[in-house]
Amino acid sequence: MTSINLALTAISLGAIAALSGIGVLVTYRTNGVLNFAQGGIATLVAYVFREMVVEWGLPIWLAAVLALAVLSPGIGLLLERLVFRPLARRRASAAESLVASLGVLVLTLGMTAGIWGLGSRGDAPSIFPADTVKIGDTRVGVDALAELAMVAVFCIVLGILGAKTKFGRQVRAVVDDRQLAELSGVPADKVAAAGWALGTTMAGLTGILLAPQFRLTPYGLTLLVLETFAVVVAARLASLPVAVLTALGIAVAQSELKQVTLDGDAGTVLTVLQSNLFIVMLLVLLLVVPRLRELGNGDSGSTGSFSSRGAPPSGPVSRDEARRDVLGKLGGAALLMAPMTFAPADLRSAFMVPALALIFLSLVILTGYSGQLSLGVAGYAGLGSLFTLKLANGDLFGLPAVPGIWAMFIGAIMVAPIGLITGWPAIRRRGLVLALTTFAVGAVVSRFVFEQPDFASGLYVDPLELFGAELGDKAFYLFELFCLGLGLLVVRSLHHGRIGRALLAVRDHSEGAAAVGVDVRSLKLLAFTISSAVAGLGGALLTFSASSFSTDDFAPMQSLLWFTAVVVFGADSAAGAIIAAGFIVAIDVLAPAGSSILAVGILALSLGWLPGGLASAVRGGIAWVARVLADEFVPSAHTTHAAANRLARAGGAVPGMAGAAGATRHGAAGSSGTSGSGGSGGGIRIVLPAGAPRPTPLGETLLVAVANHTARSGLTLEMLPSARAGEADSAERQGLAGPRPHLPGVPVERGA
Amino acid sequence: MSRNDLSARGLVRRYGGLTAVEDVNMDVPSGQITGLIGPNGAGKSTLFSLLTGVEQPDEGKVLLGQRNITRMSPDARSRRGLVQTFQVPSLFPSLTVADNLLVAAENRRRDYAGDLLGFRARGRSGALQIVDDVLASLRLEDIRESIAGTLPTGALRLVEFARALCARPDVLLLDEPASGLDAAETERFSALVRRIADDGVAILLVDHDVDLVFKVVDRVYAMVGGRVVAEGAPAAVRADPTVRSVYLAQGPLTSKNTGASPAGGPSGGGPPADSPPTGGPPAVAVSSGELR
Amino acid sequence: MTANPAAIGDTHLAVDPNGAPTAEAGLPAVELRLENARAGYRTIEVLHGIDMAIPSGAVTALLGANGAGKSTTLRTIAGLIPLRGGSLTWRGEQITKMTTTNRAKRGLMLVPDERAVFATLSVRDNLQIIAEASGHPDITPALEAFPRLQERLSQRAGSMSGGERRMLALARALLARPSVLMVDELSLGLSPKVASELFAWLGTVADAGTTVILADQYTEEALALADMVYVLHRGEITFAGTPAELGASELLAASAS
Ligand SMILES: Nc1ncnc2c1ncn2[C@@H]1O[C@H](COP(=O)(O)OP(=O)(O)OP(=O)(O)O)[C@@H](O)[C@H]1O
Ligand SMILES: [Mg+2]
Repeated sequence: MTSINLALTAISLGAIAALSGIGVLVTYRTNGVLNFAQGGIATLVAYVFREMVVEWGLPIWLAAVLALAVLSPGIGLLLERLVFRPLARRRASAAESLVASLGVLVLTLGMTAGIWGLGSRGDAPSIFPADTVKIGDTRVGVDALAELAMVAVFCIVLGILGAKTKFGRQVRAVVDDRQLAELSGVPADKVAAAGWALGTTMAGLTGILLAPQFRLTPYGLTLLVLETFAVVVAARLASLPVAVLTALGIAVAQSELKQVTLDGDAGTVLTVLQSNLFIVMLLVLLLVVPRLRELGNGDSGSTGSFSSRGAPPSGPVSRDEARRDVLGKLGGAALLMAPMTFAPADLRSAFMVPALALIFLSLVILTGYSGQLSLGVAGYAGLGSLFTLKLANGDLFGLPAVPGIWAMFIGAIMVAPIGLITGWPAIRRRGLVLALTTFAVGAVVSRFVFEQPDFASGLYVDPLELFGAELGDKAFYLFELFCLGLGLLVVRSLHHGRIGRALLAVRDHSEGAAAVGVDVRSLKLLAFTISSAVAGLGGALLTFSASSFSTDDFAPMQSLLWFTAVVVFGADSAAGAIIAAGFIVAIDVLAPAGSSILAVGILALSLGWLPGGLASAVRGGIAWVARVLADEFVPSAHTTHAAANRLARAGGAVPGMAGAAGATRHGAAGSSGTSGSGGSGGGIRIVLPAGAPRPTPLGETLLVAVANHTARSGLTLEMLPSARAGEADSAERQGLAGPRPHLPGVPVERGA
Repeated sequence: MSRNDLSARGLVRRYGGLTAVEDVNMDVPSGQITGLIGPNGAGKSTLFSLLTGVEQPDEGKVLLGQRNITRMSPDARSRRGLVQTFQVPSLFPSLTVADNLLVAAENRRRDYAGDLLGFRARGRSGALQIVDDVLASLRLEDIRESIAGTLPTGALRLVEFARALCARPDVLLLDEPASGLDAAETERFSALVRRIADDGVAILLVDHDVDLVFKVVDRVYAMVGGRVVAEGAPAAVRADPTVRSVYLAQGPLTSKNTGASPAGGPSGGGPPADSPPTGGPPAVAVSSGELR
Repeated sequence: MTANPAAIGDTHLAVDPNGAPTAEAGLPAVELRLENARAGYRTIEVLHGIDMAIPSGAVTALLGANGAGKSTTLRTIAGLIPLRGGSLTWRGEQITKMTTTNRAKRGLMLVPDERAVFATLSVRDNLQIIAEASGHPDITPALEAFPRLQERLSQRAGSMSGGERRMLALARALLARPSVLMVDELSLGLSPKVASELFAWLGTVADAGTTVILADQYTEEALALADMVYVLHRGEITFAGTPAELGASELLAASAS
């Protein structure tokens, strides 16, 4: 075949990549969410479409209409209403929306796999006739031409819609700031819903068009769509024409590459490159494209409210708190030890828990503490595992074989420099760009290393030995716990003290941190380096607990799932990481395979209602109960204050005509109908000392309130020295004490 | 020239076709408060960014003492004593006020590796001491343990200011520190700034509260359209015709502190200049002065 | 705009069906009324039951120290924060539960103190959106009022200086032709000249029949303009009346300066 002919065939792939890219772009610009679920939705729609045509025997046009005009927009409307509207309402960061979209991805994948199984199907119907047209010497499929035409039409129509119409402007306004859009009279909910419907319809269309070109499997299509993110990045998240041209360009380049053959190692690399050009281009583009035109107000990088816990107390803690802390830790340790009593098979299932927990801890370091999104953790974990095995097998750079345990630690440490290098782009990047970069790193490592027989075959996992004795199951589990302990120590030293505070400062506001001397670059790199080593250790343990190295364990999709799980269980909580690991392993053991994915997906979708993840919800719940209890016993100063104020007004005391000195006012405690406060006490008399300065109305209401409060607290109020009252007044005037004073015993709310 | 003086030489910054800062020379000597005023969009915040390293100048250089720091990163400048506050408060919202300040107080050295390996303790109590002192001097003890993200605007500004102080600045750059403060807070704030300058710190202050600026500064620069159009003693700059016509409301000055009244005279550039100034209905008496 | 495009320049004659004038004789009718309103954020209650009657076609100033609840009051009226108790009526209609968008369509317009412009949109789009929403898609009045914006039509709003963003926010308010214009911290970040011109402009807006509510630290200017004053202190109203009455009491000194 000549290269022109090849180029023509490549157009088919290019057009599909372009369509998929347009879909992702449209979703991003209309919803402000870089929709990782695009591929999942495409797959789901493709499966349903196939079901309608092949199984139910509907005519293709009817099935297409149902899939594209009913199902796809329906999914969009549902997602908007149930998942993304709550997120937008509380002004969640782009990072949180990203996690929610990962949840959608995981859920749609779970549904597809659950209903139709993981097997592939080659009978997906095409909506175009299977004819070909002759152009020059080559025959080009009608479908490819039709797709190309569609791409052109979408480009023009969507371009005009976005830039020139009222709807386009409104969509952009809603994405930028939903609240302000509402204030401007824009029906934000409707606009957002329409935007979502448009985005998911594009996804559905991608699915239906793609399916017949490949064999339909739940994961395949999804990954394919993820790979086309390269196109979106080249377009700097904004320009449709650039996206289309890039898609066509990469597709042509890929098919031209197939013409070339090389020998030796270069040949191997080339073969991989030939089928993975899109993902490589994604990485390259992310590194070279200077700035993406991210939506939002630039803080999309902040992990904001999904990791909002402050630093551990810098001062001394009360003995009570310290005791509770110790008790909690003991309880946790006891739980982790519990598998020691399990039957051997169950104990072996539990092997996964500490290993996964370590991987999750690495994400806690990176995302929870330093605010950097990482979607490539499986890459580091896999590398750790690979290095360990190669070291243990005596297969690495001609090094002598190292005993398994030491190989594990050395392997983990060898991942650190790789973390450092790949962390480099993170210095200047954050938010979506960083998320995408880490994802691309993970994917490239997976394709070029894990999936290559040269690297990843012929590895064998020998049982670990310590001092010449082979580790039994229990001993291995203990060893895992020891490693987990090490990981927790690292986490602790990164979270406490000066470094911990500095990292949180970088997470919260990196410019602000730099302005007071925090070396943002070094700290980010530090977090990246340490986190990758921890992940490497976790990966090695994972392989040893499964007794074999499996590429699938470290596939790019795993990174997405793991990241989602960590965020769901509280990205800034080390305990959350361990619980997440336990949860996933338990569900996978108890329920059919893949259930844990579904469960995590569902939890991720509820992020809209659970800011801060499960861990924070539990923390919040406890604080709430404590507050309710406290309110039961301690009357709220505000209800009484308000009551006093109302009474003062009702009593005809016109503000501005302050009561005379020595005025006696019956307290508000008797006034009924004040919600929240306990039972009513008797009247309160405030007698100001003769010659005291006349109080302002403010001062007066304050006096009543204070009197009221003290009376209820069971104290008796003899006389209020006017100086004191004045002081309280001025303290209030500063307006510094926060919106409300905290009564003793009422927990102070932490977190924004 | 003292070690702590900050100076700008020929700074230029362009955004596309717009020159936001054009050939600006400026000296911020230690122990003095230097004011910077100018209408909206004059380039004050941009100049700030150039001085602190958030942005790089297209031309010109920034000197700290004798040292050229033009290419130094913001955090390195900060560790050398050049500290700024932002026009939009930039606290760490999830940390307590005390922790916010502590971050500033303990980051004049880097040495993160040492901390990680546990050789610290050194200097920590010192940092806590600084935080306590600053909290006390700003009377912020009450909110020591409040989460920064929950504070009202006025408090946010003061805490941001406190945080800058905790970094032990030699040069302090303040971008609209008093906007959003109420009059009482402004009053306290100006006294404090004076005290800090008297301790030998060089201060550059940008604010639209002209009374605050003219009362507290030793020397003022006025910028218009990216250029410095007037500089000198406050009184002289205040009387400068250009400054009066482009920046100050003509006639008696407006402010939140004094009882002076706005004249609302017509002038180009603002909103409906041709429409007559309104009367709020019947003239009303205000305790502190007469209006109209 | 469905309900009432009481644009700048129109004089509107709508009268509160309750017909209740404020306590002060001589003030116009009241169309916007807040009764025993309670509101707050999460677990914190900020407004502890406030009553306000906003005179129409006049300037009402909302004064108070930082943290007193001024912004919360305005945000409650605009519908950004739900009422936890009490009620809000506008022209006799209960709008307590109405969405922000619908309130905006009824002519209740808030210029918030922060995030008041679409940062990623151009200046032109920022203006266009609100002009279209108000049914008068012409943006020239805003450009005439703020010539600075004319030069910057295609600049991203987020890259403008603090004061320029503020001007844009007010220009948007101008285009919305609201019946009630609520401005939170008008003078925030504005140079003295622009600030005083804007205060004067608000006066003309009110004279033309728009109800103006102003929350500001610049007490003097606000008072000079105001027909009605409410003083808020820690979420309670401690004074309601005309500026003259306020002057007679010590309250201003006690709570605002
Ligand atoms: N990134 C940018 N792109 C384009 N123009 C910019 C950018 N940043 C600033 N400008 C423009 O440069 C000019 C100077 O802005 P700057 O923020 O320095 O003004 P300022 O003096 O601080 O004004 P204000 O008192 O309103 O804060 C403004 O006209 C602004 O619109
Ligand atoms: Mg500025």
